[in-house]
Amino acid sequence: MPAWSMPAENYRDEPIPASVFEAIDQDWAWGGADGHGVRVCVLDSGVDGDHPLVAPVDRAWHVVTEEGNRIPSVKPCEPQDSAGHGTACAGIIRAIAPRVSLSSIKVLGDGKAGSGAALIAGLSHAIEEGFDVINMSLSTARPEYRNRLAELCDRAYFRRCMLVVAAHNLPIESFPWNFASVISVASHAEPDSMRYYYNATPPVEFCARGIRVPVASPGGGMTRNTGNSFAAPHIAAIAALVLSKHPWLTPFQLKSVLYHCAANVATQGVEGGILLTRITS
Amino acid sequence: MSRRLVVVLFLDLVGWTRLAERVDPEPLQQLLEQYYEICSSTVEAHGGVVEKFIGDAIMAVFGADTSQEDDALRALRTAFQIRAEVGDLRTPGADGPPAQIHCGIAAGEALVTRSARAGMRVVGDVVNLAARLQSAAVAGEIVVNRTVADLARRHFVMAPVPPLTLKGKAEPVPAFLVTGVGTGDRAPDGAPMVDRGGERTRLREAYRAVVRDRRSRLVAVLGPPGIGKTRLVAEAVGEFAADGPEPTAVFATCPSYGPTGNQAAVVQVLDALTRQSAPARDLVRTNSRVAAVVTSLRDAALSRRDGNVPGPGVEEASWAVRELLTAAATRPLVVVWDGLEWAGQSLLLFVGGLIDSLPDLPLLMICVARPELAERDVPWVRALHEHDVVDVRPLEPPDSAELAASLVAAGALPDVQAHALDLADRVLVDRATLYGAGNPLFIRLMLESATPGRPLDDIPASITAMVGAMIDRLPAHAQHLLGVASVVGSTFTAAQIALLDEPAPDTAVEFLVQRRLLGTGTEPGEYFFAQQAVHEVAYRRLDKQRRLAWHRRLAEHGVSPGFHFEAAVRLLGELRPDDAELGALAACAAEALLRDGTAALRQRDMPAATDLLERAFALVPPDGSRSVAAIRFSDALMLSGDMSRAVDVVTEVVRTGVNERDRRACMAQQHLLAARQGRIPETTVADLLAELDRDPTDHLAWCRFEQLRVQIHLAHGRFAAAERAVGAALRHARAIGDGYEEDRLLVALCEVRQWSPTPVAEKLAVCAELLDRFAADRFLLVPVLAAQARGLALLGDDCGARAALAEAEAAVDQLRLTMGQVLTDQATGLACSLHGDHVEAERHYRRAADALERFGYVPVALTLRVQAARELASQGTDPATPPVAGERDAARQIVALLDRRDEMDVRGRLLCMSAAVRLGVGGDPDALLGDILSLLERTDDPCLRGDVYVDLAQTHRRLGNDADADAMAGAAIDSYHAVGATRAMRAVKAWT
Repeated sequence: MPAWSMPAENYRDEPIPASVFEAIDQDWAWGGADGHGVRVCVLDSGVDGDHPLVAPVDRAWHVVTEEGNRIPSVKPCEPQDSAGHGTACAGIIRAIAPRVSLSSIKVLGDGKAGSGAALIAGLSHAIEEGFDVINMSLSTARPEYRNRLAELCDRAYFRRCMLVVAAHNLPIESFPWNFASVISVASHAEPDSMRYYYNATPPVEFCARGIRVPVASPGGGMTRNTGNSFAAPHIAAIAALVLSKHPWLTPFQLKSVLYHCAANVATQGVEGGILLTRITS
Repeated sequence: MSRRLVVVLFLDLVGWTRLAERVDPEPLQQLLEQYYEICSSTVEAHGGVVEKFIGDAIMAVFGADTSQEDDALRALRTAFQIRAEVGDLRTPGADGPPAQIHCGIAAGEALVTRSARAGMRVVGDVVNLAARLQSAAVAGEIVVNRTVADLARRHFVMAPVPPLTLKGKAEPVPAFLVTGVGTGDRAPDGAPMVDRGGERTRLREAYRAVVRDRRSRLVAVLGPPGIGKTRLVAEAVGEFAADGPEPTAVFATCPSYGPTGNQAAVVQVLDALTRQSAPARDLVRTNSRVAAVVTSLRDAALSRRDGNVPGPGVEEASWAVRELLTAAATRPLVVVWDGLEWAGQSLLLFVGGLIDSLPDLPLLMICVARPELAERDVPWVRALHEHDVVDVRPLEPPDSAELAASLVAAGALPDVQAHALDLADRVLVDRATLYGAGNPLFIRLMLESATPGRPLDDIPASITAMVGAMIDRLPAHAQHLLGVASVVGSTFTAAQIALLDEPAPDTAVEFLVQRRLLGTGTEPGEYFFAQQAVHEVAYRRLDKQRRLAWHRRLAEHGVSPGFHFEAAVRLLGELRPDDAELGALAACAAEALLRDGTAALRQRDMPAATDLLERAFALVPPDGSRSVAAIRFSDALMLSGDMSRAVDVVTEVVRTGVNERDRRACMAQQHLLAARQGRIPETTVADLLAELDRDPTDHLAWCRFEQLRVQIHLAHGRFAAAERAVGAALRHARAIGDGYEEDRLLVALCEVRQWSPTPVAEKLAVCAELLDRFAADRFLLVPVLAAQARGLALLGDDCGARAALAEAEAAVDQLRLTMGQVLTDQATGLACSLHGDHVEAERHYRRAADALERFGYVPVALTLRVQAARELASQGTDPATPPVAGERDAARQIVALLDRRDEMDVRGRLLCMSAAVRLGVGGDPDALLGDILSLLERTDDPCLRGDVYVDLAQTHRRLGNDADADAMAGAAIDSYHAVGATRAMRAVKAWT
């Protein structure tokens, strides 16, 4: 299992008291929604615009570092992805929210790694573009980028741009998934794309499907892949569904709606509620 | 005799043969003498043993007697020194060139034996390998194997050379050329400091007290090798300045061997003091006596002094160091003595003397050592109080994992990284966390040795060397006990050790617990190995003959016989593959594993069951009885959801089995699996039956065959026949005393009987019996309770039914049994319905249907949907609910369900069609009626028949055919009566 994930076995559920608004349930949140009208950006290794499980890609940019210029710039490009990671994430979003507008900003290189400067440039651009949801299945462990990323994430939060970020797969500290202004996502092992859990013990807030997830593979087919990378797009897509139905939600409200609709949160009576946290026994 | 990690060194003179042709033996002999002298004295000085001289070739061994963690370094230092000193020799002749050597060093496991006649002997592949590496080295070269390279990487510079293709070796052997001595410093490796907050705080508090009170103090930091003492102290000292004045901090490390260890550490302190403190520097400049002592000590440390001239006396040396420390005390002082476990008695006395004689100095002395230090007979060590000792304990698992993860990540961490899981990284982190046992050095070594293609559970040689050295330093009785215990397992009891009749005094156990090599369990006499690596290394050091004997003895005494017999089979196979006993031993192992695996299967621990049964299946001799192991293994696979392997296992026995009975039983299982997947081979059943008829005593095959029949009957709605088949299977299971099959079949009996024509009273009697039998296993209890509730409800005992359901619900809730929930919902639905509470009944049926749908059991889910819709329709007859709405909804649902009737089982189809007729929906009633009657012919479930007749009676009544209505009601009463369903019977009577 990736780090921070829900244990696949040997857990017990521990109920803790919680209060939920009875009116807000999954049906209210995304019943009948298809993501129409919501703009989602995948900040990753690019997205293959021809992939049948992903197309169409609305807009695509990449980060370019020109000779002699230390600050990278963001330029439009063809929607392409040689690493396949961004395409896999985009395919998950498309499957859940078929009518969202998907865009891509390529900040990773042709492998699955990239520079901190490119990440900052790409994220900054995505926020300026005013996307509703940004999926980031990546992080940096370099403390020197911490402050700048924190500023950007706060800016996104205040501009109604929901950042959904995958937790690291190893138990180490990295950014920006552990910032309070974003939604952080780790994995659970159940083969259900719409099922997710709220985690009451930070830094991870939600666990979504992340183990052996069917994803779009380079070249048009499908494969299975594991990692928190693939859990985050599930939450990003569900967030997009919610926004397509309730476009007025702020990131704060959106996060609360997601909490209300998590599989381990249940209403009990009018005022009472219950939250089950899964604890390794 | 013991197996151990040794380092073997081969070297010889280059061009010796040609030299011997050219030069007279006399000058040659002289050269050889000098050469031998250099070699033997150097090997000895570094702690090795010369095993033999052959002409100009020398074989030396390090770690044969007692392992040291730096055996590889010692061998390399030996080779470097011999190479340098032999280079000073001249070969005979006019302008004879300097002599040259070439050298090969290999580290690996070997058996070290000793006998009066042959002396010490080292047997193992590592000896040949060292010799081959030497042949591969050209003049002046030192070539080593990968293990030596792993062990010495931090201290020597090495370059890989093309792998050597060696005679008798299938794979090329990686080899490395040692090109020079590295810095060997303990530069920070970039790994984060994990945890240790408590220990750091204690050191800081000690420093604060020293500064505040201006009184000297000694603190000991104790912990096993690799636990991170040095790092901890370095980090803590680095933080001292944050709390007050910056200290003058000096560090000294005792060398682990060598003639001058005591002086070396003192000189490091003196040098550091004069380097860092201006007043100390001034003192050396102005006080010639101090300067003379310092110079003399330094000469002694570097072996530069002539041994015949005595150096300064102990008093003089102490005085000089005191003077320097006092001079430097314008600022607080921190003196760290690291590696004090290596210190001689005189150095320990020296350290104690210093602290005693300088009570009023702001001096913090930190003594860093392994826990063995506590056993030294030195006054200050004996007087150490608890609050003077900082115990460095293993890291907690999450901290270990964090350290391992950051080391893995540090390897090639890009700025930004995608979060697709690299499984290899994750496995590496988990493995290092497990084997590292909270020891940061082990964790690092584990990761350093990780190269693709290495078996994952292999402990790297560097850890083996460290742990081996640590074991070698234990007293003999403790070493022996570790070996004995390692065979029992990672946890063991005193009673199990006693079974082996080996000397294992309590003092040895206590000693090991004190050293924290063993932990104590919750019960007295229970112990466990505190570190996985210690367990494994202790085990590997035992010769295989002894391991074999001990494993066998433990198994024969009933201590985890599966595990120990299996280990014995493996060892015997390795030692004597042709041993006549091997077959019998394997059969014992298979039987024990089968027993354990079946127990796991009965506890529904599928991963354990699959693993154990697979091993059992692999060990059954080909001519032995394989079918039991094969079928259980196949069951375990099926229950874990791996249907295709479940089929493969039995198919293999059918194909290759030499035993007729094995083949028959596995064939029955094959068909049974096919039936479970909905592929029911009615035609092949006859063939199988013909085969079985030849041997009525083949109970296992018969038992499985009857289960196959059950499946077929159920699919056709023939419940009485299904029940008879379960009974027959049960009798076969009992004939062979197979408790596993019996439990399964009894549960099956309960389920089948829900629908069979057996009278309710009889069903309830069986339920009561089973409730006793399964009292301890609530998983099995739930279906029985559900069946009981159903029976009681049919008799009209609502109170009893409710009690049974409450108990079942509690078990379902506490054990989180999803399918159990479906069973209780089903039974509750029936009970509520009979009681007239159709709202509740509808809710329970609907919930059961939802759950079944989620799990993909479509036919049964549809049946429950039909039942839910029927309850909704019945709500119309309830004066408490508005009639019209419920009935309209129900009618709509029934019409929708009618379209899917082909997906349903017989029961669902019947109930759906008869409901449609009753509600007057679903098209042509006559066609439906025809279908209903023909289906009724085929099923023998009396309650189902009764329910359908009631529907038909109501239909006739609605249409005004009173005579037909009465006839149908009579048929319903007869049906209910046959099974004793008095409650339903009364209801019909009341209606008519």
